[in-house]
Amino acid sequence: MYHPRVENEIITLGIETSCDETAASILKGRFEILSSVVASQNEIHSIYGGVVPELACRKHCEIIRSIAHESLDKADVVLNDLDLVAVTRGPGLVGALLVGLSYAKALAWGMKIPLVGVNHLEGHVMSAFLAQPRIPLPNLSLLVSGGHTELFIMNELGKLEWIGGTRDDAAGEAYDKVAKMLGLGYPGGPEVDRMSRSGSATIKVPAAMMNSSDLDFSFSGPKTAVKHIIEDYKNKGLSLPVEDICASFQASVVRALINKTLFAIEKTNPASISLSGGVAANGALREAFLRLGEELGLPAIIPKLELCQDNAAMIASAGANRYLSNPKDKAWLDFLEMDPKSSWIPNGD
Amino acid sequence: MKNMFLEAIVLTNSVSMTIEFGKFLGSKLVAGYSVFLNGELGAGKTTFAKGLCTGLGVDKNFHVRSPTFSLINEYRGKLPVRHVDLFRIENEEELQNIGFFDQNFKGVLVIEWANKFNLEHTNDTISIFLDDVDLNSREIKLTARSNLIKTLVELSPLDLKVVNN
Repeated sequence: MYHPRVENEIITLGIETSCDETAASILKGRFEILSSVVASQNEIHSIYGGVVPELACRKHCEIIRSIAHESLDKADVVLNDLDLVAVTRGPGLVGALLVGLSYAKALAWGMKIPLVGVNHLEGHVMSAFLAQPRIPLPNLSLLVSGGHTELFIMNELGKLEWIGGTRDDAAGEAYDKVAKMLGLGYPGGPEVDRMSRSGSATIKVPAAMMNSSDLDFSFSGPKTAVKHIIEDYKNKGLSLPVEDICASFQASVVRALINKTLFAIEKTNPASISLSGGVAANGALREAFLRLGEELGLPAIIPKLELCQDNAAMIASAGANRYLSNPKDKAWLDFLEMDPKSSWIPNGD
Repeated sequence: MKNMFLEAIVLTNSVSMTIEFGKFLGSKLVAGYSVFLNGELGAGKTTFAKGLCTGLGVDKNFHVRSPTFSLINEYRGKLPVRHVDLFRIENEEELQNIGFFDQNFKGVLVIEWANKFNLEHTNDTISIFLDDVDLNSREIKLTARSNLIKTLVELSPLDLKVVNN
């Protein structure tokens, strides 16, 4: 018979397999990370001694169990200690999501404990609270990653309202593609950030949707503009000012992100702002985001890098939070039919 | 076999015109069609796909986005639409692994960077190549079975012309 512990002591296993990373985490209460394991290519290579195709859904199958058990061991927790399983249900590749979902269902069913299906983006937003649990609400959250660029307002812990996002490319994707066009490799977003430090933003790159009156972004425009700038230099037989192009592109992207965040603040009047997702590692964006908070007198939270990138601690936290909002609900134990949701932006659900 | 296929070409001079043409094409598609979208980075594949999806009845307010990172986006229009991007896919094995060859799908497939792989060009395939003439203008080349191309040329709101080889 299942007896949940008191709220701040429940032990949650988080599972994340929505994209390239296989991750598991053990969380205590809503925000205390006991362990967080993300399978890196190196680890996989050392376990399997061979090359594993990076995007293979099969990779998740092969390592999910060992990653979950590693998270238990690192947290010094055994299966019997678990009170809850939280798993990413979407958005993501169906084949990849199914691996985590099936593993989580089997485990929760076998242990007779509840299971929560979590939105990956809600997890990212919750990562700010893992960094700093007492962020004043409402919190305005800017999520920027390889696959997403979204603005959410959170009036109540874990309840997201979507207020804007990209209309085409995600910011991280545009960074990676600009890197490729400049011959900096793919993915090379961080490389563009690094190069731009020694360049100056002297080349005109159109901003990503500065004039429209909504909270949406478009990063396809600046990306294409960079392409034509490169062609121009090549046609004229001039050598490419790679650093200046990087700096100019970066300035355009950061300006759009910050201006839209400012616009969103004016519209929603939050008590705090937070930045999450892999692109939160970008130096210029971090600086500008913190400065924005400072200027407006709003607490601005950027979680540390491990929490910004895909991980399972954020999934465990979002799951625990949902579960604890109504732990007596029988629905948490009725999960066998739960299916993956490939396209799913959280909005009031 | 080759002469069963025809090529047609159209020039657009703005993003909205490119979207408009995509919308026209989308409105003529039925379940089972595949649209291959090729062209360099920044050529307008995702922009074209936006138009296609609008033509396929995907809600205008629904953001059709680049699937480069997500690999496969799914939309509900009059028909289900699967928007795939092979940019990040390195080999056939990965193509298998992402569930690309799912036989049960009954809708329209839109595949960016299709020519990275030797995908079968069937009677229900429309292959599109986008070339960016300048920042806003695009040359859009369509290859498909000849009677389909002829129908499209007849109905096209823009000046779509058959290319005579």
